[in-house]
Amino acid sequence: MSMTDIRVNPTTRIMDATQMIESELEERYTQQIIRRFRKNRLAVAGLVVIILLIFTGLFAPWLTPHNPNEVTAVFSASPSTTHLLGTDQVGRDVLSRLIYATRISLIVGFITVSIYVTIGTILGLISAYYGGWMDMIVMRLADIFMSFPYLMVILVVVSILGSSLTTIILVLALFSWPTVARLVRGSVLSLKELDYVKAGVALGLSPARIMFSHILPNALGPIIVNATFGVAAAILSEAGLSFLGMGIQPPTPSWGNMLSDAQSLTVLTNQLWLWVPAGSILLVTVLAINFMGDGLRDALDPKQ
Amino acid sequence: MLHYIVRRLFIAIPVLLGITILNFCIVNLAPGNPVDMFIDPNTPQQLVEAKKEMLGLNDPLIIQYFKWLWQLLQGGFGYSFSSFAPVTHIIGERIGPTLMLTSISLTLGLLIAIPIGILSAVKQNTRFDYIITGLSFIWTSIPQFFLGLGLIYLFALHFKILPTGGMLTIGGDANFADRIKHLILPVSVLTIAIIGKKIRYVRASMLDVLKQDYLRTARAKGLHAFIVTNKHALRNALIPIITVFGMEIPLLLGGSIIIEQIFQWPGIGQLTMQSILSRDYPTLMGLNFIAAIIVLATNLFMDILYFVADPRVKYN
Amino acid sequence: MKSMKHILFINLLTIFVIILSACSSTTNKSDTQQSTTPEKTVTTIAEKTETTAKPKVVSIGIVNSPTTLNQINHQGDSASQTVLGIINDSLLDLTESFEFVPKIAESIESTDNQTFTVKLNPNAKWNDNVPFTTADVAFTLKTALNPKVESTVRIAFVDGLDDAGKIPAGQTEISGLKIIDKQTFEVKSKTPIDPNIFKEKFGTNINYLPEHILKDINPEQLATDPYFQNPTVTIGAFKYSKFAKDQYFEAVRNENYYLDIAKLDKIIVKVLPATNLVAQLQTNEIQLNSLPVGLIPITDYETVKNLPNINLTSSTPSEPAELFFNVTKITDPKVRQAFAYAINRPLIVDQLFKGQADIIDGGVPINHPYYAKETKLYTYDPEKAKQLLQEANWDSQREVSLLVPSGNKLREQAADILVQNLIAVGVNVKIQKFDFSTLIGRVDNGDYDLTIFNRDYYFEPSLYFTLFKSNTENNFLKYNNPQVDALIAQGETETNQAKRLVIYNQLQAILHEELPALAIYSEKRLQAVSKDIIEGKPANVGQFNNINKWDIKD
Repeated sequence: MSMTDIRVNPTTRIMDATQMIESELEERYTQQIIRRFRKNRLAVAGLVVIILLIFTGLFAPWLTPHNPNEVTAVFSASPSTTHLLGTDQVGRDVLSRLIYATRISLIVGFITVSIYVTIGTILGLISAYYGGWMDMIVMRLADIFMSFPYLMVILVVVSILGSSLTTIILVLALFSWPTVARLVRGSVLSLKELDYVKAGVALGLSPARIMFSHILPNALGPIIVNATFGVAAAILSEAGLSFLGMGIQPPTPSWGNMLSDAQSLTVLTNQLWLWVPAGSILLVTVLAINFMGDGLRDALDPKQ
Repeated sequence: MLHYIVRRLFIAIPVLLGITILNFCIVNLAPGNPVDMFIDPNTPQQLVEAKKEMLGLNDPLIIQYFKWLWQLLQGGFGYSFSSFAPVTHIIGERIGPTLMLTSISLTLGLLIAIPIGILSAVKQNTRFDYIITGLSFIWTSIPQFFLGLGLIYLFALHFKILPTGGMLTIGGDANFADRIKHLILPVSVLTIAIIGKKIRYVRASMLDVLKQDYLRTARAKGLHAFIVTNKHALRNALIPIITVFGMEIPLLLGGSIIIEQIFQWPGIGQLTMQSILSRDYPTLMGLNFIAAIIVLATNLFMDILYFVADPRVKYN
Repeated sequence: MKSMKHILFINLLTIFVIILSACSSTTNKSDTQQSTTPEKTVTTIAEKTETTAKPKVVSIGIVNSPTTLNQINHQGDSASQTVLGIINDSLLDLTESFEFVPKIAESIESTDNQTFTVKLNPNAKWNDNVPFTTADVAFTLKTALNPKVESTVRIAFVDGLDDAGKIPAGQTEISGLKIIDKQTFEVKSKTPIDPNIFKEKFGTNINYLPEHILKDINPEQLATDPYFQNPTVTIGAFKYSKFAKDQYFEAVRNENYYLDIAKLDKIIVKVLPATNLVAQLQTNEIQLNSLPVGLIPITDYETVKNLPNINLTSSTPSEPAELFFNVTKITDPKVRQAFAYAINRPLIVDQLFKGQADIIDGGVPINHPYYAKETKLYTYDPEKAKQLLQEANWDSQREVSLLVPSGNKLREQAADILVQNLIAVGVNVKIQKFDFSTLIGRVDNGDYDLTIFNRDYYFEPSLYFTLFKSNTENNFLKYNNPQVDALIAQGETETNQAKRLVIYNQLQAILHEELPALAIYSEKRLQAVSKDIIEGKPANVGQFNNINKWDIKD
């Protein structure tokens, strides 16, 4: 920057300085969040569990003792030294299937939520901020999606595209964004009337800036809670769909379809290895996600 | 406000129409049709065609849609493709049990979750809070069908104090006590799921609000904690709470399908499954239409509640 | 202003909750009204006939839900056929050992195997005491065979009906049906047929409509007539009492039965998921399961076997699950044979079915009179499979799609095993699971390489083979063999049983070599009967033929 520029445009220099200070503050802000998060031991534990699970999923082929689809000679065998968790009803090693299922369930959970939280937040923000016709259109769209026959659409999509991971994620995301959108819209409707938001408008800041820098951070609480529940809910939805016969189909293992094998009282009472592992890991995962999300919410809160 | 409501009602009609058209497309997009799957491979093609003709399946889709619409305007949903009973009759029989199940669960959930959630927020980080938090996490982590099966095993087979399913004891006295006995397990499963989620939301919303400055001001001014909590804080936490309960209402009709399967509860969920698998188009269209109306009505209702609950909310 | 808003808010919320609970309580009231009335009438009847004994009620558990009570339009739904069989008699019935017993008809005779004389039981009457006469027969047939009427009844072999088995367009009379008097009528078939086939198809498979109740209804709107939602007037040992769809079906004793009056007061058919079915057998809430729609999962075999209050037996073998090849895609019979050697059927039967199944290669069950006993079954020989595949120059990279219908867990698991077996010999198989309706759509379009499902159980042997006829639209296998076509045609027209046996043995032998379809397993279904039951059990054939003799201990 030469002296001539400054003479020509003094405000540029001042804006630059402001930006520099702001970015410094942001950096310290992020460090603050991390520090606050670290204090919450349960949240950290949750994070550790999730990271472990992600590793398990990533390195599944190296971790599994057997091929998860291989049919061995003894079906529903109880745990032994060769099969640490026994075999399932078609003679496949339960432990190996459990490990591979981690991949599937985690992908379903995280990707579904990423998709629909992003869509829902953006649409909710826009809808509430601009109001008027924009609000009307987006909300009616949300209404339409919410009133869609959930099962019917799943059936149609599954029958056209096959019941793969992609279709399940697609469908679950499709049905979940309206909730987030309405939630965000609800928060924003109140928040946009607050003084500092009005100040931002008066200052001439761009709508995007106001929405994402001023309003969104304060609406984050419910969004994050919703998202953490969402991951758990997505994994559980997949389990429910498996129960109804529409989720991830065997031979591809998922915790959901492993659990839904337990639909027999004999299995429930006498063949615990067929469902307890899947059930436990599901429970632990969901708990971990929830604790982590809770910790995140607390950490992001500037008023701690 | 009135202007807003009127506008919403006006828009509701084309939206509803749009929904029915979309539903019709989806229903017909599903491969297979109601006739092909019932046909014994030895049935001559001629009969299959005749049946399709009789059910009106050979007309172009647009004609089929308008025939359905015309029937709707005359007050009916047509006849089921599988039982030939009037669809209104079929749905009417099933809607009661589902509503009973879900509204009781939702109400119970409300009554339990709100106070506990508030308490948990107020007593943040105490032992009470940790226990409640832990419990609500666990409750939301258990898949419904699993909990249902477990409870059936425990209470119906092991302790033999509750029935394994159904709405009434068949062939027995259909008295109030019998109904309650049959309601306990399914309602428990639904309510537990609801409570688990809602306690978290209520608690989170209350926490957000409790941290606001104006509350500190109120306390500083010497207002009693109770009033601060309930009069000032709760009202502002209300919006997310309302939203979240509003979310549950469409689930009133659709969310109990797994419970209905497990407990043989003769409700809308089961009917939907059956209709989808047998491609019973008239029943499906009827069900979807009703679901659409409920969603639209609920959302409008929620929006009105927002306006009433929070004076800062404006609709332009 | 604030307080007004408060009040408005609280009011809205309260109204909302009230509306919700009001809705449910009004339906509660109507439900209680509905269910209390039949209960009262039944208990009073029971009290009159048996003074101190409690009513004899047998509850049967089924898993699939009946869709309709229309006795001429069951649409192939086995669950509907099950409940219809309780309240509707046909002319004859079959026992499990394939013997015919008289019901509405005393006898069906023929001298030339072409004209069959049916003599009705002179005492036959509807449950409202109106006599059952040939007028009812004529009315039912003319209505059910009318192409404009919603009905699954079709009889292609009767003279005067078209190839589809219905009355030709433009006609109202059936030329092959001749009413002699109120108790006798004759049916003429187009060509001579095996009398057993006639008795099974015409005698046991048709239920009748009460002419005196339905005669004035417009036939084209028959299906939606309220009679079929409440079929109170039928002819059978039991009569309709209540049908709560997806919950239960209730029938009570017909005091006006024309044969021995039933011993039971009531029969209830409960619709339950398989888990609850087992649970309710345990708690004695049901006393029997039913075949084919009330199956006990094989996973629970040990549990049910060990129940102290239940007797568990295995049924006769049922129709097999067959692996169908799209012969236009998998063209070489050697390849198909290779698949047969590759599949570990003994493992499937021993481990998956716990021994409760037979291995056969064709679609005809092992206990069927026309089963080709000389067939040498394909063994489990993966080495031979690999050898055959090599000889046929099979490309191991080629992807083969196997379409599996969802809904039958054991079949899905058998398919999973099958896939692993095929992969082990170098076939790149990919499973795709669909609901049945979607699957049929894809299969009809030829959009598959392999598929697996069960057909029906047929008494008439020719029905097992129409699938392989080259000119049927239903031949989704697209199988085309003139020799087979010739044999099928021969078998359909031959009436002599011994000669038929020869023809069908030949046919099965050719199909065994060519293998357009391979049976994987033929399940022996579990039959659970409470020890309190004196008479009555589930069966693959003729389950309710002696339902009036069913009895339960007090």
